[in-house]
Amino acid sequence: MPEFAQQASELLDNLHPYAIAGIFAVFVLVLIGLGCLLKKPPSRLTAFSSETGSVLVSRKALQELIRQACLRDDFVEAARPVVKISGSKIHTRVDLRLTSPTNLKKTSERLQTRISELLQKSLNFDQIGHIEIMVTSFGKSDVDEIPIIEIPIAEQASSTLKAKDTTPPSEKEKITRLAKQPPLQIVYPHTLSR
Amino acid sequence: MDSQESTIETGDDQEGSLGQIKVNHTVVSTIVKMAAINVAGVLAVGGNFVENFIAQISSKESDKGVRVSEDEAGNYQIEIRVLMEYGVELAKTAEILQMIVAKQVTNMTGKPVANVDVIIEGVKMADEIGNEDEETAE
Repeated sequence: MPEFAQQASELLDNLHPYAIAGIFAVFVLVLIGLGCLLKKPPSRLTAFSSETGSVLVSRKALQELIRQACLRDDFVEAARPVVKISGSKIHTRVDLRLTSPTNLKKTSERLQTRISELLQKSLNFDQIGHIEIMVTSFGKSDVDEIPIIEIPIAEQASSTLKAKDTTPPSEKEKITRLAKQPPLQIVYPHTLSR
Repeated sequence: MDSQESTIETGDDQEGSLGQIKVNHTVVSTIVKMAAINVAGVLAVGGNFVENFIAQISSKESDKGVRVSEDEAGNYQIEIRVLMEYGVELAKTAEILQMIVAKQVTNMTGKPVANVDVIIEGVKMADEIGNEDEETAE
């Protein structure tokens, strides 16, 4: 045993100070990691407890429940719910990819109501916290369907100049000019944030 | 996992002349699993990945997702992890599951059940489970 201690001390003496510092840093990181693991928030929420036993719902189940509820909506292409359990309350945030930017507000409100109703069925009412809906992007398919039209800048400029030169056009002339013009190009950002 | 191996004396005639009747916890967990599967809204019985892996390597498929133990009075304490179908009322279905499991275990073993804890591990569409089963079969 003394030989082993001697060997260990010799090894430590031979080690570079940076190596010792590295080992110490790794040790500290391991301790922090263990601390985080032990302080991990509860991943289950008690729906109810009675004499016959308790019913717990896992975070994963809640997330899946919310995701399915969102995907049932025609305007939702993808949903990524994040459920946070703080104490006995759950707070939900759902990142959505909608098929089209139309009806954004209505879709978001409809989903909020649907999620709230679903959670009420599964949990107690006082356990439901905030339901945050975040539209992060719009679907590719719908962007492709939007007619791509370009306004020829030169033509547009010349028509503006023409308009300046002459007296204001009549309604008939306006309609004729608009009919001749190619439709506007509407380009939606495919991904607002990912 | 040792608790799964232990047995519990059962039946009214425990000290009868014919001898004792003992029921292994694995048998109880099988009863629990079979009762749970028949409840409308319950798609599957199973725990998390680690638990399922342990159950796989210990070749005790029936124990997957079910934990059986006894309280001081010798009554069963059951914990069951389930996957439920999307669209059902989770709390209501879980309550029905508690009652059916308790009733079935009591009927079949003759021992009372102290409590049945239900853990809803996931929610899935019935089709998804069907597809997964087909894939595993292939």
